[in-house]
Formats: sequence, C-alpha cells, structure tokens
Amino acid sequence: MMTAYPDLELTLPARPENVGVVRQVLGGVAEALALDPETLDDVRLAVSEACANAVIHAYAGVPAGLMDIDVRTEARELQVCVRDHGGGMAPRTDSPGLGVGLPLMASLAGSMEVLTPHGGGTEIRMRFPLPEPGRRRDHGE
Amino acid sequence: MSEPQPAEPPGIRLERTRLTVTAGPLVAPVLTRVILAHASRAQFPVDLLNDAQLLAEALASRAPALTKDERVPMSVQSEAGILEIRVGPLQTGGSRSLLDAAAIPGTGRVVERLADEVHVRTGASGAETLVLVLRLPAGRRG
Repeated sequence: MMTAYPDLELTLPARPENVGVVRQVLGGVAEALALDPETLDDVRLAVSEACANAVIHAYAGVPAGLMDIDVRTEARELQVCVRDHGGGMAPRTDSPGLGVGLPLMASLAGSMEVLTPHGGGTEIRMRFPLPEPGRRRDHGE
Repeated sequence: MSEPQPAEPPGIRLERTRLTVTAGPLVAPVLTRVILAHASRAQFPVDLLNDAQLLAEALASRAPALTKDERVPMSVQSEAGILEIRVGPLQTGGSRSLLDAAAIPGTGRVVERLADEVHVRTGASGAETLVLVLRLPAGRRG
C-alpha cells in the first residue's frame, strides 16, 4: 500500500542533461538511507534507463515535455516511479536504442510494472528490496 | 530584500527542476545535490559552487519547519552564469523567519550574504515563495 505522498517528487524536462540530475538525486537518497554501493548502482542504472526512455521515446517528434520521478521508502523497500506525459509506449521501427532497456530494468529491480496512466504517457514502477542496515548485498543476489 | 511581489501565475515551467521532499533525512542530501547539479550546469567556478552549497545547506536546515505541511517544495533553474532557487510555498512570514534563522553571530544573515538577489513572492493566500539568485559576475564569465 503506497502512502498518500511520496517522500520525494521530482519533475523536470525530459532532456538528456536532466538524467544526470536524477542520478544526483538518487545519490542523495542513497546517502540518506545509507544504501550500499551495489544497491545504489542498480537503482541508478535502472532509473537512468527509465528516464532515458522518457527522453528518447516519450516525446519523439514533438517538443520535449516533462518527466516525473517519485521516490518512496517503505520498510526495507525503495519504490521509484518514472512517468512521462508523452504518446505512450508503441513499437518504433526507427528506434535509436537496442531494445534492452526494459529487460535491464526488470533484471535490476525486485519487481517492475509498466503502466499507461489515464491521462496518457507511460509510467514505470520499480521496487528495489533493500538489504538490512549495515549489510551489503551479495553479488548475484 | 525587495518588496513582496505578486505570485507568479500557475502553469508549467518547462525549464525548471521542481522537487518536493518530505521533511526528514532526504531533505539535505537531495536539495544540496539538485542545487549543486544546477550550479555546475551554470558553469560556476569553485568559490560560487561553495556558495551554492552553503545556501543549499542553509535552506535544507531551515525550510522544513516553515512549510505548510512539512514537505519542502523547491524549484531550480540555471543558465550560463545564473542560478535561481525558489523555495515555497512557505507559511506567511516564513521567508523572513528563514532568513533570520540562517544568521551567524559576527557574520550576519547567511542567505542574504550569499545570494545576489533575494525576493519574496506572496500569493493571494498569504503563502510565500522565497526566490534566490546567484550570479557569476560578467567579468568572470568565459
């Protein structure tokens, strides 16, 4: 059950340079939660992929719109939602990507959902299980 | 400090990074990193980056107690040589309280000393937005 408000809401233009801002923010979240480096790497990579999708695909052919990133912490789980307000997910024959983004996100997150919000766009929800404080994750976990 | 100005009309400002952080451990590290990311994008030299960091730390430590619902709303915008930070809506009088609280004996009001411009925008409801601008002097721009 998600709380009414996320712990952190971030809205910024879906532009390449802002993926770096999101990565910085995740570094701040990791500092606050004392996340181990391996978990932070996974979260950063998965969320960067989701943001890159918003940058590359959401507003293809139209001026870049916004992307929203919500972060919630619950018990030993980090929930991150990346949402755009673009044209929604659709096959692209001219896609500049390799098509590995979604499988990569799915493999890095504990669970992932791809949703189409009522008002359009795409929403990717990821949940990352967090190790107990002071414990680092084993590789391959 | 300038006189209170009318609140900016609502609407999507595409160029801004907007964030809202629940009061607690996320506020300082997140606010600081967003402000420093934009300060870096504004091509600030190290002394102004340091000023931006001090400003971020002052805001992070004072703003949570002055918002309406213990959530800190902030937006940041940058361009070459300019960084603008908006904090709010704050409670009525919150901007003044924040500026007063961030004072160090012998040094004075830190936020006003670090920022090149300080404005308070007041909305119809009395809620305030504190607007801070840091500028790289024209003579130091590359």
